[in-house]
Amino acid sequence: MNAGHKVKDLNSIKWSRRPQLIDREIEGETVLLDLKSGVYYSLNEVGSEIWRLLADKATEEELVDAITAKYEVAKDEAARDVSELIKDLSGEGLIIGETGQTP
Amino acid sequence: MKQESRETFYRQYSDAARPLRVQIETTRRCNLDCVHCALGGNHVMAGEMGARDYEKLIPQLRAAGVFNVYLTGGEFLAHPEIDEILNLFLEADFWLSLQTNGVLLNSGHVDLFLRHPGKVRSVTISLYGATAEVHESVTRSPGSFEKTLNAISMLLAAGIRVEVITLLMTLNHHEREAIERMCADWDVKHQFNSVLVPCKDGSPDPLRYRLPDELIRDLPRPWETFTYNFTDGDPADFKSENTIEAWCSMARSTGYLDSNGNLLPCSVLNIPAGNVRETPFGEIWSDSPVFKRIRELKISEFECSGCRHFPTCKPCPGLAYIEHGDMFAAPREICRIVEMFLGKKEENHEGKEALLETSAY
Repeated sequence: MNAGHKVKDLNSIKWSRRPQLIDREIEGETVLLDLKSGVYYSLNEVGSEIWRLLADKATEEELVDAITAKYEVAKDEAARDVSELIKDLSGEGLIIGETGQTP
Repeated sequence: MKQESRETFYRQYSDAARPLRVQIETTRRCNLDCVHCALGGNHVMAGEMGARDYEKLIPQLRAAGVFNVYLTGGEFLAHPEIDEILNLFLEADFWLSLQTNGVLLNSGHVDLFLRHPGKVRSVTISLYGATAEVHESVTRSPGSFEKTLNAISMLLAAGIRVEVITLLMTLNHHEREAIERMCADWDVKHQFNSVLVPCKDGSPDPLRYRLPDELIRDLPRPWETFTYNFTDGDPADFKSENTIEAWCSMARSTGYLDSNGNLLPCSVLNIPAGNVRETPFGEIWSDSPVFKRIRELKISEFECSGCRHFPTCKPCPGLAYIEHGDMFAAPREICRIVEMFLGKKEENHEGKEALLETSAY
């Protein structure tokens, strides 16, 4: 990264599911199938809730607010969990981010 | 988040007896008149499931965890409401595999597939010859060869994965290599099989086209393109007290729905566990005595478990049932093929590993 490059505020990124994924909710977990690679992924209960929220575009902050509203969990802990999952999902190419800023 | 290898994922579904893939015979109707047809000309059943039935079934399949739906027939495209049924499955996010002769496939179907990128996993086309003369000697339907080739071209042009399967019989075995060359030119996977079974009504008519022993001996090896499972696998999977799940997924992660809505363990083990128009899919899957019993089948119960070729060759309850009406018997046609294969091996003094190292499954 060049010196002076402005680091984007992560909460300006709106995350959503990538096309060509299908999912099933089974006994509190969600199983994802990437139709491009044929790879399966599983998400636990909280991950499943985040995946549901990602059906619409959402920032990490919005996801954290939704998780703390639904589960008895401290905001810091929820923020860590959401951040980790977003990193995993984006690393696998399962979600895409839009900055929302006009070019 | 956990990433699962396909093998691990399939094993988890199987261990949990959770349905992953359901094969659906949309119809017994067919536009061709193949000499070997297991339906024996019985191409229409009263009370065939329609689009409204599938509309009710689809949420049940999703709730049970089914990802893969394999549409077959008869000729699955011959169902009068097939366009609507295809659309229902695609809209509901299933990963579809399709088995067809291709003759009824049109640009409207291909456009529908393209509107749902990635959801058609593959289209398997039945091709019986490299020439119209031979192909149509099997299909007994003039013009079918050209239409099947057109379907393959249309799908490949659209970027949809095509696989070709050829059932070898006395009428077409001499064109096997030419078919393989065509498939290589198209860059599509080709598989062949030579297991002809009696009709579902018990008629032995298709058996007259079975390859004789000497022609089976001439089939190529290794048999990576032969659609029957001849692999040794892990010896730990083949203890006599084990179930057959190491090689047979029926009633564990796969099932078969006939065109009347009867849920069966597989396409040839015609023992209905229940009907989805009367009982929800998930309830039949979990609670039916038929499926519970299938899941408990032990290797020791099968005649094949005492055979010298086990576990290179494994019991197939479905083929045994269709041959003998007894799923525990040895399917003699498989025995014949295996004897021919192994006989050739013994003549050539080849190593077992070199001979049996591959499998199409």
